[in-house]
Amino acid sequence: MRKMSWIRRCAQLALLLSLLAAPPAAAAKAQPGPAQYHAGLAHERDKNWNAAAAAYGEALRLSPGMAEAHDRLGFVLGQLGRTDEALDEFRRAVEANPKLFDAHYHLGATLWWTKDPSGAALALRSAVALRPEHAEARYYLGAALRQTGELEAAVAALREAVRLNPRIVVAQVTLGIALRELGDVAGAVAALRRAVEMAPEDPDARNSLGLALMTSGDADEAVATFRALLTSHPENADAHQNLGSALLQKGDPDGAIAVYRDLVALHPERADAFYNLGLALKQKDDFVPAEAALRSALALDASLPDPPYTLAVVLWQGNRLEEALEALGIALARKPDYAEAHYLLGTILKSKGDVAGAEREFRETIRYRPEFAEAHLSLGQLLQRQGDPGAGAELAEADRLSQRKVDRQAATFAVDLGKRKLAANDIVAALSSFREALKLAPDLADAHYQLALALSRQGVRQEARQHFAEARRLAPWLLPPSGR
Amino acid sequence: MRRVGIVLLALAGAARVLAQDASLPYSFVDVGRKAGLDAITVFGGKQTNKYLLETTGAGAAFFDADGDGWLDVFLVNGTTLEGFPRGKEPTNHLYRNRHDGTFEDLTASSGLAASGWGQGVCVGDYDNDGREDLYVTYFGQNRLYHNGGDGRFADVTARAGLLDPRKRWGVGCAFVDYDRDGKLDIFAANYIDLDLASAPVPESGLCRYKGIPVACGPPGLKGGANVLYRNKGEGRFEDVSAKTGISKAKGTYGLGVSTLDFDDDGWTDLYVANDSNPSTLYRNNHDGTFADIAIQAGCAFSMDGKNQAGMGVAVGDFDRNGTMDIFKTNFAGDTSTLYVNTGDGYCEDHTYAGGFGINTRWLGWGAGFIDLGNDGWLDVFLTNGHVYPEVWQLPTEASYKQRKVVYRNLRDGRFEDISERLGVPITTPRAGRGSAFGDFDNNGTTDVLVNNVNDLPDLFRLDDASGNHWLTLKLVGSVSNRSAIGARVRSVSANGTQVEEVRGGGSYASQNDPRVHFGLGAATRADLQVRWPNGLEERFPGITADRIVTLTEGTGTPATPGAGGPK
Repeated sequence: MRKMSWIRRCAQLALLLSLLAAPPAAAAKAQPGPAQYHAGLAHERDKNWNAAAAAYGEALRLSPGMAEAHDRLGFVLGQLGRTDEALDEFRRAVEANPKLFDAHYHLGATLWWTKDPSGAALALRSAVALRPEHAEARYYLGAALRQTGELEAAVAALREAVRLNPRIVVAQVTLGIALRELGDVAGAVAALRRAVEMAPEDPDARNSLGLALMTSGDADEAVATFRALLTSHPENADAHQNLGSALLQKGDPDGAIAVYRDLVALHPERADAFYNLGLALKQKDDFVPAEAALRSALALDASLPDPPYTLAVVLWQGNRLEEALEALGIALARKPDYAEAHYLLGTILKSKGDVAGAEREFRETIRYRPEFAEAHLSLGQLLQRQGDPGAGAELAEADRLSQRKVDRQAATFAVDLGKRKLAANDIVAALSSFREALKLAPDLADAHYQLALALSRQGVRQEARQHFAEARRLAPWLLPPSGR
Repeated sequence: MRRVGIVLLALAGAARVLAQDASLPYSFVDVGRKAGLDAITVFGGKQTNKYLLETTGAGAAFFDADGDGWLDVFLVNGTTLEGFPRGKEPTNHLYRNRHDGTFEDLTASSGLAASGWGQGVCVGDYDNDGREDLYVTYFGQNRLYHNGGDGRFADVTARAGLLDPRKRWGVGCAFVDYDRDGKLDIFAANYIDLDLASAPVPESGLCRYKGIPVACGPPGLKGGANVLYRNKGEGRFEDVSAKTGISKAKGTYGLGVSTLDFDDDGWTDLYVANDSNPSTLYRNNHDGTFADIAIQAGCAFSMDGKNQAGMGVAVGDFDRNGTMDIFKTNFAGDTSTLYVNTGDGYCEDHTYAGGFGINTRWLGWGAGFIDLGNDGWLDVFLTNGHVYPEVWQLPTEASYKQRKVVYRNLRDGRFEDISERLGVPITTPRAGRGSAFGDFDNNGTTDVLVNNVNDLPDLFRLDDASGNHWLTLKLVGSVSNRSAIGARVRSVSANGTQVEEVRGGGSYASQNDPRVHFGLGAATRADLQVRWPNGLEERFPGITADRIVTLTEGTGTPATPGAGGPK
């Protein structure tokens, strides 16, 4: 079951507009143009958007290829809520003058706002190429790349944005979020602490810091962070959600339930609040209210697949199989590729003796998530019982996937042991532990990094360099000591 | 301050459940102190633990040490990392049953006053001299004690060839005659190949439970390999783990162990509850080897194919279909598991169908199928306690000390949690571990002995006012092993047909009363048929109820194997 954390994304419309609003006067200086264009700038300064749009339109009628007028018209249309037309104008501006930074920048930022991060990243790369020192463009590029999953590039763009203009809090926050997603939890916490120092009242900064602290295992400080935020912003729904999660992480389901109950009282329309309440109640084996909360979540938002899935789990635990199947049907209608839901469906069908249905669902699970070890196992067992020769391959794959997980845990322990040996100056023992870890999990970045450190201390520089390089390839934030 | 809060919560909980439900015809009474079980079991740190070694606690045994027909008590003891001054070490304890509800501590004179990281215990007459011997597992060297019959036990580990050059962590164990040669062999589950010098510690920050640094493992640590020692006769054993296939089990981190005849073929199998790994079902291949069939049989994982942190195991025919079902205890956040034996080589997971899906808060250890009201339907008793003492820091986690859970068999495949209705002492929190089930006062009800960590043991006397009848059978092998471990008994009475076995091990690291108990309901007599471990089948017809009867191999009426025999 996944916990829904409605983390507030960093950008807000007001912020977007303030960043995008390049001073019309500056644009006018760059391109004098016809009188209608200058009139448009004047109307813009007065926030007389309709008049500005008319003036830019007239300018373009007189000078159809005037990129600046297309760009400003796009901006004004955006202010008027005519986003699609705005995007068309930005595109025309780019076409008319591919070197016009504002056009690329506005196009990229607006595409990002309209939830087209790929298109945004393309436009913003062009903008950054034209004006590498433009911090806001770097920020939007980083934000867009984060959403397309290019986390390393996102972090690089966001680091540059923060370097160019350390006062952009949202860039600092987004950098922290991206670092956390990349796995550099310590880096994330550091970035977000800076963000909170810069803007102590910023709820996004505090929420994100609390989440990073949770990821680092520091549930106590996470709880304190969210509670502090709720003191200043008592109705902040994200802080409620995150505080509840942190309390659950601390093993305090009663505390979490109280927080979620407050939230559903404040926001009875929020499905996520009911969902998290249901999860917390379930953790307490308090099944009746858990079911009620999950049914509320299910009804409040017809798009969310997790509430019906979790409801199915609760019903299944109570052996209410038909109702569980009904809930799973809803979950899968909302998210057809929901691997866990297919798997649970298969499990329930198996217990009902529907072998064909179970096999179908286990295969669906594997189709959507090939590394789902339990699905391979269940399918293998099912096939074995039917005398199907395909059973062996499925059981072997389940075994392989499980073993990989076990090996990784053992490797992590070996790295920890090696670190302690290294700290005690027992380099030979440390090297042995790190090599053992790499034997178990060759792609464990920290093992490469620690081995490189130990080799460096032993003076084996060439091999150390190789392992530093491999560590950095696997985890780009792991730089050799001199490069940190 | 926080700890004060926890104490208050616990008191409030206790106050709420003081009264027992009068509608139940049976109740438990904690008679441990009155009975004289007054030695604290020492096991690791009380507030924090550095290594998992300090968490596993210790087993308990009900067995007749002096052959007087009354169950005596053996409790395994542990130690601490700091150790104790010479002569002050905690030791295992043997208590002799005085037949009046009290026990006498005979540890000092018995030769059983060993110290160290004791873990589990199992019982069997390995030399067929008519006296029950003891095998005690350790982190370190396991020990075999020969019962001399004069109140003294001798440590014969070395003489028996059981010294192990490696330091192992034995936990659950069982005597079993796997090759049906009439001599009991020894099986022991090994948990972790633990090296205290290199094992990570909580301060490493690597091992957290809900944010709290705790002892590391077992994931990440090397699992132990189980061992089987064949009894060569003359009091000598040999390690046959490799050649019998015992060491080839799929899962590791073995804890609870029980013998059972899973496939009802007359050859004893073994079930091992593994922590964080697939459990192991060793099927006896009749040729001196075993095969781990747990995965293919469907009794290795949870219903949805996940590894579980198996701890204890109970075996019994709860649905009275003639096959031995398996109940396994697991970690907190998970349910216990009920595997129904289909009789055709498979298990079906009936955890949720059985009604066990409602409890995920408890961390289970010892468990037993016991017939609370002698109605002939096996109920379930579950001993709990958290692994980590540090959970006191978690405000509403089910605490380190946890209550027991008792489920009543509803006779339709489902169970009902009656813990709250039973009240104290079931609802009294303790850090429970090993539990043994047996009728210590010979009154026809199954009592419960619990070994608690850093606490006194519990002895719960079961008082049954149902008026139902019962039979308790002591089986004595003559050609078969004298303890009759592996024997299967079928009872046919007006209460229907019931099947039970004599088992080695059981629960968590413990040994249950080796006698077979049947609740007969309103029936006053039963026809019995025994399949002895060596294959002989005999009838013992018309046995009148409400007494303890000794059935000796070769004294019954021969029966045709399989014809109306144990099913």
